[in-house]
Amino acid sequence: MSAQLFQKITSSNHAVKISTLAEALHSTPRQVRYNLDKIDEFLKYNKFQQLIRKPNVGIFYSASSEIVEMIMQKLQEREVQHYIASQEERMDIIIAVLLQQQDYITIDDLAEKLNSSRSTVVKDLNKVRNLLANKHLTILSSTNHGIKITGEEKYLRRASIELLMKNAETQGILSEEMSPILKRINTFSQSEIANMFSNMNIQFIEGCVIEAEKQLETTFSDEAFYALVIHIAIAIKRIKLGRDIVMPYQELKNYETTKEFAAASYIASKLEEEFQLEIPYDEIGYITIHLLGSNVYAANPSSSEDWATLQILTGKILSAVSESLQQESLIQDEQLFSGLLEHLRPAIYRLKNDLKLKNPVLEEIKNNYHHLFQIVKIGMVPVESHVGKFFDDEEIGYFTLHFGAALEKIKTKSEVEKKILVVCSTGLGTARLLSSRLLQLFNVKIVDIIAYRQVSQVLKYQQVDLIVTTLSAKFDLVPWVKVNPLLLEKDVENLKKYLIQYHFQPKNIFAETLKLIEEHCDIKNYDALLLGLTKILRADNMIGQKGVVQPLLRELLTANMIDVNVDVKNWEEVIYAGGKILEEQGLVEHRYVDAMINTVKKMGAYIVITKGIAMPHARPEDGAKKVGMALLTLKNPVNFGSKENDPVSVAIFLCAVDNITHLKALAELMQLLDDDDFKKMADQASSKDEIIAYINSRK
Amino acid sequence: MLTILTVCGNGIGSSIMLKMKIDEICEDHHIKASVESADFNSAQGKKADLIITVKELAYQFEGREVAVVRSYINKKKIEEDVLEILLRIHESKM
Repeated sequence: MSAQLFQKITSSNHAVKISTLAEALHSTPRQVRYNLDKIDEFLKYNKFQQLIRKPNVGIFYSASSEIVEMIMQKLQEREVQHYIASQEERMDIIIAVLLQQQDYITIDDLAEKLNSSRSTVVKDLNKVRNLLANKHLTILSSTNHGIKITGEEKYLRRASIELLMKNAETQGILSEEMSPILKRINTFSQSEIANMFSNMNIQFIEGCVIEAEKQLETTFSDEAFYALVIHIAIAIKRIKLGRDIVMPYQELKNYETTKEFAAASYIASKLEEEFQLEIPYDEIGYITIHLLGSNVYAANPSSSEDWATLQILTGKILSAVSESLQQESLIQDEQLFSGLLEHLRPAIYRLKNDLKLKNPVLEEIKNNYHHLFQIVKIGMVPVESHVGKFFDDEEIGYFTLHFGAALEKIKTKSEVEKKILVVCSTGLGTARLLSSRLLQLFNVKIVDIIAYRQVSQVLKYQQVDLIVTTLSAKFDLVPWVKVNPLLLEKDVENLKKYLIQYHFQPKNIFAETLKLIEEHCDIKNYDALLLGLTKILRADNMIGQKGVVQPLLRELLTANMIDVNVDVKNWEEVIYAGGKILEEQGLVEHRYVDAMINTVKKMGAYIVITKGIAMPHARPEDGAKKVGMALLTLKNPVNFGSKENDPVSVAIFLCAVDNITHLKALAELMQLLDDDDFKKMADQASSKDEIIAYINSRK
Repeated sequence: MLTILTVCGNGIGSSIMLKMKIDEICEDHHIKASVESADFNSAQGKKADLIITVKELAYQFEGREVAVVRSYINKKKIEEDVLEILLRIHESKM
């Protein structure tokens, strides 16, 4: 490839990007970079100028055309003569050759295959020996015959799988989307490794695995899928060589009842037909283990055996890691729990059976979550002692990812919900108002409302992102913003700099749950249910969102909320009379009644909203407990002080817990008020029933 | 798009009713508007092209564009009170 690559670079009169080169040569950027290094090595060795690489611009080479010509020629010659493999490549090839060799092979034969000298091969072999020792394999040397690889069949196969997976990755194969594995393997530059798959209908095997996925109602991860395909391919090769795998009888018995065993049997029968061979019973057991160990994405976790054990182990991991991280909230993270649970089942099978799952992002995980990785490693101990074996870093890496994601989530969540400390001179009154305004405008949490002198005390135990204060004071430890108690426009702008407002979009779980309960159950105590559900679902923010409980007017204006021909002397008595009903029915605290009166005193008789009708009400935080309405008709009309609409003969009281829950009833009420007949009817009504009948007649 | 704030003392009753009426009026006259209701405290800090309220509260919004309505619910009266100013602002925004 080097000569071709060099030709592409020199034939262009400007710098060429690696991605462009990769495309032109039908290769991957990774391979291009690799070959660029080779060219540079070659140029250096032959004392030519190096390639010029400019980040974000590309590669170019400046030399006279004669020199370019000369380099080209040398490069081509070199490629024809021999390909110089790196030591790592040579080691891979040696292992590949050994694994496929039935009998001994001499070092000279190996050297020939590698285009290397005998001494190089001997040097490489020393390293190979160490490498294989870690994989429970040994190289036997015989003075007369050469060398040979030995070890348990399962370790031999695992070495083969690892070799193939590693090369698949080096060639950028796993990153390519779903192209048939056969094509990818054909791109291996090392024919010896590709040989492992010669005469093999890989597409057929892929088909079998896809079929197994369907039978198991699951989807394997890409890595697991290809590991499985490669495993089966190797198994077939080994069976053909007469190298059966042996599985302990008892273990085999354990698997026979699983649905994975059924799927494995199915795969085996298809393979027997296609490849004209007999697949031993133990081999089916081995495929079963691989199916069980394949990383499951979509399987139903409750359907698996050992459900309870897995739950307990997951809980142990979770609490150990949360404790070390001092992130108690992780224990509450259901998504994390189910993610870990789902991952744990196949991971345990892999661990039990020494199956390896390649983790292509392990290095990144270790770099980005170095500390977390160590904590998770310790957190996995309960599982390791359960199984009696240790996880390797690749597996730990996957678990680390789960925790990493959960931590990121916490981070963004706390970014959304800033913790605010409100500070004013007394910690009362205006500060309360200010707090409710802050809650309305921003997605924040008010951690406390305190007086100035308490600040240092509170900051000792409370984490605070921002102090909002009405005082002209300075704070050392935490950023602060001074605002007008009424929170004027400029204050809001100012605060926005600190508190970016995120749009809160609650999931509809709350409404859906409530709907379901309403549909299927008789509700004894609606309010208690609502309160309970709110607590469980932490849905304070969801209550009253559109689609949630918005009672109708007739549901609020019931008989006990209505009184007719009430005898009062002035507007205050009207409000007391209506307030009494609200209070008696448990909808408001007593202070709500005073607040209604204060509203009129402070802001005038605007509550007389149309001719002869008043609508006394106050703010939700003035002591409203539930959404509700009450209606009074007056024996003698009284004046509220409204030039336009006095005198008042009908009063409709309103109490609301937020800005939304009462909207439906309010809209209905408006229609009622638009209707001139309503007032006439109300004035003439001599009983509650007449009013209720009128309201019910208008749907 | 016009932004309109309807304001009353407590922000849960009258101003919401007024918002509904303003929504209707805007629709009738093909004015694109986003109408929000607010109590008079929070209205201080909110941005809007037009604030609609009753005369008792109007003085709170000195220096801002305010329309005063005589009623929170009588659509005919509201329309008489706000339509002119609504159309004027709408056109200036075009």
